[in-house]
Amino acid sequence: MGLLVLVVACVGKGVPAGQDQGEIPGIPSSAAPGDRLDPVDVPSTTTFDAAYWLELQVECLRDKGWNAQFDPEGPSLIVPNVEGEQRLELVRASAECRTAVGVPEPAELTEREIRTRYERLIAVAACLEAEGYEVKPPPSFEVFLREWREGSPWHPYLSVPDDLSPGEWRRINRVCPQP
Amino acid sequence: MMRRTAMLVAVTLFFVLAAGWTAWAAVWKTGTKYCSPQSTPATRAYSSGTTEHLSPGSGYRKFENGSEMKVTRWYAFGDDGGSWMVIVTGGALDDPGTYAYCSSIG
Repeated sequence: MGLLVLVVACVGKGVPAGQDQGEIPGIPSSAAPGDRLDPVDVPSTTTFDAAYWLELQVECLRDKGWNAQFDPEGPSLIVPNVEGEQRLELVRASAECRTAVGVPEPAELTEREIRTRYERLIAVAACLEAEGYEVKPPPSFEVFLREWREGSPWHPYLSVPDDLSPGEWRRINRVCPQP
Repeated sequence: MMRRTAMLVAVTLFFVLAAGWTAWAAVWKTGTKYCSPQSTPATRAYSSGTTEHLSPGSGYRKFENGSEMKVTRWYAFGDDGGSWMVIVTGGALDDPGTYAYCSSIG
């Protein structure tokens, strides 16, 4: 019985497959003002709201005494000025919080869902080019699919140069959001 | 009845093991990077899942990428460098796409 309770605790906090999008906490809202891309209809099993899960983890880390802050840019969670052995303690606390809030494991995508991602990335590439960036041309879908399964697919943001100011990095992520 | 119980135990064990495995499945890349005072140390990752940047210096930033491979960056303002690490839990880390560098524009 104890095991069963543990299973429910471990599995129950994730985003259940097939659930109506409107009832799931953490489903992405529509594109932010200024975004150029139209929202794509992606099945609920594979949608994921990073901000929702990060905000929960910020609360958890604060409860543990860490100066965690939520940054809507990204979005991401920040803890400033952590040095030496404190960093490992923070990683440990962060892993505990990830488990405690129940961040769902990434879903295995179907070929159709991967194709939706591929098409979305091509739109992002066009957006980056319109912003003046030179983007490596996309591979065929067959090549992209193989790369995806190998864990290293083509991505237009890999073409964005490193010597970009943080402000410009934030700007292009707002104008041409990564799917 | 016994068969149902055995099935329930097997299914339960599967989920416990699966939950335990995924909870601990982490990959990371680490190194040391120092930059001149005119530049800012930064880390770049190409990854899915939970991605943590421990910048060259003293900062910490965490992203949740879900199923998507995304490019994430973290600029370590005010630091001249040091050890860095990118940790990915519940996802994939692209090795050549993940590194520390000196950003020439601060």
